Amino acid sequence: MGNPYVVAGGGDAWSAEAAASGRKGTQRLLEVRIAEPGDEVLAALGLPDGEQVVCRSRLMLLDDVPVEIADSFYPASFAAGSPLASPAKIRGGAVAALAALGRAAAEVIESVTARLPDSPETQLLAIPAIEPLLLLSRISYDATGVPVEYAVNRMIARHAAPLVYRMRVTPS
Amino acid sequence: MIVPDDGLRSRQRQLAGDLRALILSGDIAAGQRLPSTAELRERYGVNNMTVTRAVAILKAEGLAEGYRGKSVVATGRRPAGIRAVHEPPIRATDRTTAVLAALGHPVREAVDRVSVRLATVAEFVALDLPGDVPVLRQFRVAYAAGRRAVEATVMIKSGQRFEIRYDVPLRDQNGVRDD
Repeated sequence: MGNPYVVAGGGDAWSAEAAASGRKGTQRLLEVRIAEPGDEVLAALGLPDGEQVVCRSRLMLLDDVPVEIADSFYPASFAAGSPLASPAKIRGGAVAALAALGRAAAEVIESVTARLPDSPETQLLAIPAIEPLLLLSRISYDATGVPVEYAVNRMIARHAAPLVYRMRVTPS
Repeated sequence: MIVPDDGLRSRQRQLAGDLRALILSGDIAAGQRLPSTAELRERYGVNNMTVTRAVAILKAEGLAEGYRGKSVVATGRRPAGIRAVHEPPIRATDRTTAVLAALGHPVREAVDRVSVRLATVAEFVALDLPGDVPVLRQFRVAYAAGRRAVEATVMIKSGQRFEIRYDVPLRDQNGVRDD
């Protein structure tokens, strides 16, 4: 089984994951914009200064309660003018839209860390300031090794299922 | 609009928390000035003393530096990335994989489950945490041939110090988030 958040074909991964545990997963599109991003996003996507990105920001809800802020950044060079830049939910999901552009992810690097929320996060997620967040950042690379998406997911740690990673041991 | 009081922590901790998030995310880059005392006073509706105490918290955590009369800047210390791998041996002091192999149970794969929560009192003391810092909990199970579990390890890391990195080749159908 592949990761439905990066491999096309699963439809809406979030609602499917929630439905699997008998719950309702929905999302609210907060913002779609084209902008010059900060250093972190530029570095993740391997873009030079001055390049623009398409940013899709969503609020993920579980049983109508906010649990995660999910931001995705795509190089505007290919994402502008595509469904990725449309201010509406993407039919089939962003993963399918990437695949349709010939830029399906072939490899991802995920980084996981933790911190307390800042004021905008406490308001958007309706949490107290001592509620820890789990931060999952993911860079997706296409088959040629070019970064095609940088995703930053800020989850309420208490509601998040543990992230699971399998590592093969390479014989030395 | 004044940033509302969360009613749980002291105002200086709230202010420090907001600035900490900006520094850790890189929004206030290394060498860049923190917002001025006047600005913070206005934004949070607090007095000079509260701002000074909040900045002192960040200095104690190594996230900001500056001296009286000079502007306070972010040090740009970000969580260090650690690449999660399970290869024999992980490091010189870690000989469990070698011992397991010698016992006839060479480790073939390992599975990490990563979650986040606030530190326990014991973790707070052991890791010398500077304040309200959530921890990363890595629960790793190592398997020998035939998916036989041979080792379980719990690792607790300060979220402020570390970022754990996983490289996931999708062709191998690896890295399932909902295993």
